[in-house]
Amino acid sequence: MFLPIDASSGLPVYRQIMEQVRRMIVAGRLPAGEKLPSVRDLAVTLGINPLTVGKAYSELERGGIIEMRRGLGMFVRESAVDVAGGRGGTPSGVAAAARRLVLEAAQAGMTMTQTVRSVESEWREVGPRPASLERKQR
Amino acid sequence: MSEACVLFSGVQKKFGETPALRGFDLEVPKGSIVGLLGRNAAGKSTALRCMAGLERPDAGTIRVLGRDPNSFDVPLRQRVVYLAETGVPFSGARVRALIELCAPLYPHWDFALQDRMLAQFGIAPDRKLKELSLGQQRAVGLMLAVCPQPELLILDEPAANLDAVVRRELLETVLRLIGDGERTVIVSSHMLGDVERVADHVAIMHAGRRLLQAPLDELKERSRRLRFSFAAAPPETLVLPGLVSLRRGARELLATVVDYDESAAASVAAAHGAHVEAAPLGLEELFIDLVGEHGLATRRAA
Repeated sequence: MFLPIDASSGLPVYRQIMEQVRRMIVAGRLPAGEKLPSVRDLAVTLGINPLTVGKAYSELERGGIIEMRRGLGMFVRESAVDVAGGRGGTPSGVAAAARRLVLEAAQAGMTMTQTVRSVESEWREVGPRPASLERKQR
Repeated sequence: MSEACVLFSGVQKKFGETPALRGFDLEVPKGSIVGLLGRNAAGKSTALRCMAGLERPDAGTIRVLGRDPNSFDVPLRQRVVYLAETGVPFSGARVRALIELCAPLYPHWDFALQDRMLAQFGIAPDRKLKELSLGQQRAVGLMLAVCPQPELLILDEPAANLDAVVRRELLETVLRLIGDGERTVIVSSHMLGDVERVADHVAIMHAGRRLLQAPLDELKERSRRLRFSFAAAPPETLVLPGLVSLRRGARELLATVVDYDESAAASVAAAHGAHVEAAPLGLEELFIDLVGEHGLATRRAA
């Protein structure tokens, strides 16, 4: 499993791993039941601390995306696509931030289209790049 | 947090009239990889030499694996390895002779790892150390440091002056050694990018003291650069939690905080009629803000 990691980013590496595993699951590149590399193997492949990989895995496990099978390793859960794809709803922090954004934008006299555009431009600036840029064939 | 593998408390050390450590504190959790950062002459090497029992502090307490490293007996010495910034002495010795010197001193010497590393770095055991490339010399040093399978590995600038490829190979060696949560590594380095990859904790020191120590992820999640924009000239200073650096422009203040609190920043901005934007920052930028010319700690120490 190859994940591009930017260790010098302000985003902690374990979060980068979580985000990319999620995206691979949503894009169908990590199907349900697929085995993930061991913590140590992934750490050595990426040249990062195994504790960081372990933290990413345990957070993904807590989020119901992957599961530990005793003695076998970590696997993508059957329900992972739904969970990772956010079909369970918008996370509460994001919903609250969106509400604040709408209120501020309305106070500033912006229209909905203008507000959505400003979100889009911020996303292009600081958001994760779309998976299509990593791998074109899908 | 798990038990401490290394503990420094108020450690002071002078060389002649020059203070190297001025009340240095450090807690290294067992099983972690700690990056010890600081500018030149911050006291990193002295701290590591004290940790290895090579210097006796003038004041303060040091505990390594629960004991004072200056009173280590042989079994304790076998559990701690220190690799100096200057690498391995005896540069005229052949690699084989160095191995024959070191291996019998340690009960758990890993001969398979030794052979793997020699092969990986293309080192012939009958070569003299000084005949090898710099990268190979460093690899010999690291090989002699990891083959004892120490519980605590102390590395002082292990990758200085090496190209990125060799540095990555050396880092991978260290990463393979740990990962079972039983071994602890403390490494000083100017290569912040390397530290960001391998360390789970960072400790930043300046002028013989610890400025900051935190899990790296936590540090990144809680550090921000805040840009306050004002309609008129900005105030001289702002009161913000975890403020470490402040830069003043004509219409703005750039503040770096290590304890970001969105609502605190917003209410400070509101109180001054300012607008605030927050951006995350990487370790290198944070380091520069902490110990560079705009760092508050630097100004206090000067």
